[in-house]
Amino acid sequence: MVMDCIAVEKSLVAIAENSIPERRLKELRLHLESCSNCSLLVKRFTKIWQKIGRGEQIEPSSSFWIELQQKMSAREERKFWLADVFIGARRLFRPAALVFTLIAGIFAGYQIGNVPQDSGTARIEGKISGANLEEPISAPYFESFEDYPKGSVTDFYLSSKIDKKE
Amino acid sequence: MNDQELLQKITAKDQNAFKELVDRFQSLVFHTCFNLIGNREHAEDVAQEVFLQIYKTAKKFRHECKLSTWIYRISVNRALNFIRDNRKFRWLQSIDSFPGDETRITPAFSSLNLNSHDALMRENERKELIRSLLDSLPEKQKAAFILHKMSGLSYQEIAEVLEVSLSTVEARIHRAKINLQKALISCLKKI
Ligand SMILES: [Zn+2]
Repeated sequence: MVMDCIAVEKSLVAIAENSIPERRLKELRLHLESCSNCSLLVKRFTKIWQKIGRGEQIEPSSSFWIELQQKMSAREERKFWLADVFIGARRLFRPAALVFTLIAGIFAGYQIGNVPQDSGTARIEGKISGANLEEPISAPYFESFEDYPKGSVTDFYLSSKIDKKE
Repeated sequence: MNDQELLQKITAKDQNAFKELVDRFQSLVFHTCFNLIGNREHAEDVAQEVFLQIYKTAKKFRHECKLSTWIYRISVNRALNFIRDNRKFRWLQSIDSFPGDETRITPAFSSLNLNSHDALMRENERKELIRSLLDSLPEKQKAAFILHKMSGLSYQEIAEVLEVSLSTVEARIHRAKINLQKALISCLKKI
C-alpha cells in the first residue's frame, strides 16, 4: 500500500525522529519520490524539529553569582526590617488587646446582669377561650402553641393546665 | 562533598557550600528556566529565585529523590509561575495600551515574517518560530516535552520531577508532539 499525503503529514514527527517502522519507510519513500509537496514538507519539518530538540546554546551571564548574592543580602535586610516592625507592633498590640478584652468583658457582664424581668415572655390571654393562665410563658412557646399536634405530650400537658384553671 | 553533606552545610548557612551548589547546578537551573520562559533576562532572574528558594528550604529536602530531581522540580514550578504571572500582566497591559485593538487575539505566529522560505531559514526567525510553537502548548505538555526533548530526561525522571505517573508523562509528551506537528505543518504551509 502506498502512503497518501495525509498519512505523511500524520507521520512527520516520527519521520523527523527516525522512529518510523521499516515497512512504513518503504511506503513513505515511494510516496516522496512521486510527491514533491510532501518531499519539501518533510525536509522543512525535519530541519525545524531537529532544532527544537537541540535548544539554544546559551549560558547564564558571568554576573549570575554576584547578582544572586546581592539579592540574598537585600532579602536579609528586608527580613530584619520586617522583624523590627513586627516586634514593635507586637509591643503596642499586646496591652491594647488586653485593655480591649477587659472592657468587652465588663460590658458583656453588665448586659447579662441587666435583662428586664418580663422580657421575652407573654401571657396567654384570650387566645384560648376561658383560659386565664397566670404563669408567664415564653414567646416562642406562645407563637407555636396552636401548632402542637393533638394528642402529643405537649398538648396533653398544656390542656391539663388549662383544665385545672377552669 | 556529596549532595547530603552539601545540603547540611547550606542548612547551616555555609556560603561556600551554597556557592558550590550554584556552580554545580547553575547550568541545569538556567537552561530549564530559559527553555520554559524563552527570555534570557527573565530566565536568569527566575533561576536566581530558584537558588534563593533552595537556600531557604534546604532543611526541608528529605532525600526521597535525587537532589537534581528536587532542583528540576523547583525550577519548573518557578518558571511556570513566572509565565502565569507574566501572562496576566501582559494581558492587563494590552488592555491598557490598545483598547479595542483586535491584534491582541491573533495566533501565536503572527509576529513572524514568514513571507519566504529564505526568511524562515534565517536563524533568528527560526528561533522565534520554535519559541512560538513551544509557547502555543498547554503548560503541562510544554514542561514534559521540554524536559524530555531539551533537558534530555527520561520519562521516569520527568515523572519524578513533575510528581505524576509514567503514563501521564507519556500522554503529555505524545499530545505535545501531535500539537506541535499540527502547528508546524500549518505554519509551513503558509510559506
Ligand atoms: Zn504527498
